[in-house]
Amino acid sequence: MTDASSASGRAPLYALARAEARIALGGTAQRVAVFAALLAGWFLGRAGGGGAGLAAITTGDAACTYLAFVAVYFLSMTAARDTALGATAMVWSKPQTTERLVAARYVGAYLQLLLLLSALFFGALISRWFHSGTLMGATAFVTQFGRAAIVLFFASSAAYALALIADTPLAGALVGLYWVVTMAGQAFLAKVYYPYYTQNLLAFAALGLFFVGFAARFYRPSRRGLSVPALWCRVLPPAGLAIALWASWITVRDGHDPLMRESPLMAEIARQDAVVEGVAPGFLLPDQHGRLFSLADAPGKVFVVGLLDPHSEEGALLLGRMRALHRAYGRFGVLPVAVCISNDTGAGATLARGEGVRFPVLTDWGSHHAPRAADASPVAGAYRVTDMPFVVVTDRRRRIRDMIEGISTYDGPRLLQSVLQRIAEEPR
Amino acid sequence: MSMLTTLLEPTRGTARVGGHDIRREKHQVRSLLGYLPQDFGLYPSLSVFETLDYIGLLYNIKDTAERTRRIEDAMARVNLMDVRDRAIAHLSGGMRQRVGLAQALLNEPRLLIVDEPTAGLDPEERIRVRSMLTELGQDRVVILSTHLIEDVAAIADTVAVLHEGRIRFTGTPDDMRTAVRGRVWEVQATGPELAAIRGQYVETALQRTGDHITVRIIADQVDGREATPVEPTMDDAYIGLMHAAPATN
Repeated sequence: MTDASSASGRAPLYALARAEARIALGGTAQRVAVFAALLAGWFLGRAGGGGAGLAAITTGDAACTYLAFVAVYFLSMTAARDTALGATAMVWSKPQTTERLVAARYVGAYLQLLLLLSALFFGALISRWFHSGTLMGATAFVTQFGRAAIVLFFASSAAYALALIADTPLAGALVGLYWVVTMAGQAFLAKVYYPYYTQNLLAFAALGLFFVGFAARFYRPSRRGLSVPALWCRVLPPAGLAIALWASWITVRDGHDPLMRESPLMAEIARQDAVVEGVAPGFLLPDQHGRLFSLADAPGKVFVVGLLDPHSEEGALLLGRMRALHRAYGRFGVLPVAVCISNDTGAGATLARGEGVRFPVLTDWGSHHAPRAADASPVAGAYRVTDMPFVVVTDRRRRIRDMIEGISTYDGPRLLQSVLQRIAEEPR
Repeated sequence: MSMLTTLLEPTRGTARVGGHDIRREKHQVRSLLGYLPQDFGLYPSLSVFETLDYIGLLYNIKDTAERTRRIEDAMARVNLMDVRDRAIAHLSGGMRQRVGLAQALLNEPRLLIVDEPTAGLDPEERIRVRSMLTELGQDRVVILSTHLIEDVAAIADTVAVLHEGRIRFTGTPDDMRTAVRGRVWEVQATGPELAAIRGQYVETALQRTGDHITVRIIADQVDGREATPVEPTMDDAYIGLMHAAPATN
C-alpha cells in the first residue's frame, strides 16, 4: 500500500483555520450575532465628550465585559462541536496532527470573535460620526480594539482549553464564572486578577498562549502514538506560563494595591494634605505618552489640576473644558493637568487621544478598588476629593487658590472665573 | 474497526495496516485508509463541496487544484455532482451517506473501512450504496461491517463473522452457505405446531400464506414431519453459525 496523501505535504494552518471559520460563519446565529454587535456598537458610540475617547473606552469596556461571555460560550461550544455533531470519528481518523487540528479550530473561532468585535467597534464608530458629526480622536478606537482583542483572546483560549481537555462545555463555563467573580469581587480581589485592565494585558495574553499550547499539547495525547508533538506546542505552555507569572510579578512589584502590595511612593503621595493657600500636593505620574510628569517639571505655571474618572461622561466633559482653557489661556502660562483615577492604567491615555488634548493627562497608577474616590486613589486622597470630577487651581508658586468639585468643574462660569482671576493677579 | 482506524487504543495486542503498527504509527495508518463511520455528523452550514474541501485539508492535500480534482472525482463516483453547492443541512439521509463515502475516498485509499453503510437507508438508496461499494472494491480492499446479511451477499468476497469479539467464521460467502448446505429445510406447520417446531429446531425464517405457515429451519434431520430440503441463504448460514460450535480466537 502507498501513502496517497503524504506526498502532498501538510495543509497550511491558515487554510485549515479559514475552513474552520467557514464552518460557523455561514450560520444564521453568526449573522444575528454580528448584527447585534453592530447595534450594540451604535448605542455605545453615543457616549458623550467632545471627541471619541469616552465612546472608545465605553465600547472597549463593553467588549471586555460582555463579549467575553460570548467568547466563553462560543469557544466552549466549539471545543465540544465534534462530540455534539457526532463528527469525532470522521475528523479524528484523518492524518492531521492533533496540535494543528486544535490550533486551527481555535484560530478559526477566534477570527469569528474578531469579526464580532469589529462589528461592535464599527457600529460605535459610525454612531460616533453620526451623532457628533466628526471622527476626531477616532484612533482611540484602535487602542481599545487592541485591548479587547487581547482580553477576548485570553477568555476564549481558556474556555476552549478547559472545555476541550474536559470534553464538556461546562468546564469552559468556569471562565465565565471567573468573569462574574471579577465583576462582583472588587472588595476582595486585587487588580492583578483582572484580565481587562491594560496593565495586566501582557500577563493575560501570555496566559492565553499557555492555554492554547496546553490544549494542543495535552488533548488526546494517546492519538499521537509514537509521533513527537510539534515544537511550538511543547514550548508554548511553559513559556506562556513563565511570561504570565513574570509579568504579573512585575505589575504587582511596580504597582500599588492595598490588597496585594502597597507602593511606598504612593503611600507618601497619599499622606499629603491639600488646603487652600497651601502648596498643591506633588506627584510623579506617567502621562499619555508614558513619560513621568510632576508639577515641579513646569515651574511658574498656573496649574489647573483636574482629577477625573476617564470612564465617566463627566470626566470627558471636564477634559474638554480643560482643553478649551489650554487653547485660550495656554499662552498666558495656564497649564491644565488631568489626573485620571482609574483601575485601568490605559484609560487615561485613550481618553487623551480621543479628546485630542496636548497637555499632560496623567494616570494615577495607584488607583485601586474602593467605594470612595478619596480611598481609591492616593492622589485623590491627598487632594481630599469627596466628589468627582475635582479641580484645583494653583497660582504660579503652586499654591492652591481654588478647589472646585462636581458639576461646577465642567459647567458654569466658576472654573473660568478662577483661571481669569489667576491671570489678572499674576500676569506673566 | 475503531482500533483499525486508530480511534480506539487496544487494551492488548496490536494490528498492522499496510505494514504500519496501529499503536505506534498512527499517523501513517491514518494516511493509508479511508473511513466511513456508522454514525457520523457533518457540519450543517457547509455545502457538500466545502465539507469535502475541509476533509481534504485534514488529509493534508495541500495543493488547491489537486484537492479540487480529488473532490470532483469523489463526488462523481458517488453521484453528488448535482448537489455540490447544497448545504449539508438540506441533504437527505442517503445523500449524507454518500457525502460520508466521498470523504473517505479523498485520499484515494487502498484500504476503505465502512461501518454499517446502509443502515437507515431506504431500499433504493441501499442498493445504490451497495453498488458503489462493489465498484470501489475492484481496485482496493474494502472492509465492510454490517448487520444486513444481504449486503454481504451482494458485496463481499470474504466474510468474517464476529460474535462477542471472537471470530466464528472466515471464508467466502459461498463457503459460509456451504457450511449449512444440506441442513436447511422448509416445514409446513399450523399455528399450534409452531411452538413445538421452535422448541425443537433453529428457525431462520417464517412465511405465512393463508392458514398455512412455512417455517425455515436448520437441522441435521427432521423427525416425524414432512420437510423439504432447500438451498441455504446467507441468513440461514449466519444463524447456523451463531448456533454452531464454540468460537475460535
